[in-house]
Amino acid sequence: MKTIDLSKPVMQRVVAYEKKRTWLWILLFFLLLFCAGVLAGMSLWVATQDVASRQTLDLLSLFGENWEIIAEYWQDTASVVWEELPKETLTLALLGITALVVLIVATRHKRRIIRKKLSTLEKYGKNRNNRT
Amino acid sequence: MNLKTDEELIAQIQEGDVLAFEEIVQRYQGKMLRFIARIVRDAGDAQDVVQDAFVKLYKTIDRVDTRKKFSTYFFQIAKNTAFSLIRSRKKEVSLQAAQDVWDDTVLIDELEKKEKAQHLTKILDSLEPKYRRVITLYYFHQLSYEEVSKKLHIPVNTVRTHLKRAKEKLKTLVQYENN
Repeated sequence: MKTIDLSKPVMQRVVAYEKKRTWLWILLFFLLLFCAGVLAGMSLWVATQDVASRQTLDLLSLFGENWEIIAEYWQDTASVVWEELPKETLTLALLGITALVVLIVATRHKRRIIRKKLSTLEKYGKNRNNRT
Repeated sequence: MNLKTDEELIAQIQEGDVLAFEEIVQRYQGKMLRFIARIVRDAGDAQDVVQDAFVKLYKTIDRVDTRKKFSTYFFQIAKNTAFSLIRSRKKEVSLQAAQDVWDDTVLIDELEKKEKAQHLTKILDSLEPKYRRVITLYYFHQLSYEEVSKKLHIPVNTVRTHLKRAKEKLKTLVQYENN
């Protein structure tokens, strides 16, 4: 009886499917990373500009004074600094940073798998080229 | 030789070693081809089904529970794929049957039209030539009264009269034929 080897056609289909899926994942990952990075970066930059233009941080020079002055004015100073901080922009920046961290931490295992997949797919491509 | 179990290989694939799947294919293709050939009763179809089943297995590999027996899961996938093929074949057969019925209907319609045309020609032939000519030119060549009049070199009113009489005669003839 003729023996049929299906491993070649099956592996070709599997590799094609896996290549598509892996690259799609990589693309999506970097896209999300980029979006979160842009959100965090832009928000931080806007917040910094805002704080610098209002010279809010100059108020903190109070803490360079002697202890009695600090004890008397620190609460007022802190409350003014808090009032002047651009909270919405900072919240956005925090959101972006959190998204970045979550993305990096949550996909740690998956990224290892993706790296492994890429190397085996490359190996498959090389083996096939050697055979042909 | 250190032969890995199916479950170990599956775990390896789940961890990203795509090429370990080749080992699974080689391990199961023979058994699977024999199993599927018994269901679909065709060697070519069996190969297609087995290929599809392997690809389906790969696509769902992340869901395979390596604590459970792998072969049961895979045979279930292959069986379902084979049944899908059988179902689609049945659908194809019923579609083919519908197409055949449609072809027959079209053929019958054509025959009926042909028969009616032959019948009409026969009746027209029994008309006097002057009436037949007017009927033919007016209805079949779709000429106007004036055009018929010019073509036959007769006045327009004569065309009208001939047409009227021809229709009456045709009516009588058709009624006679039907009775």
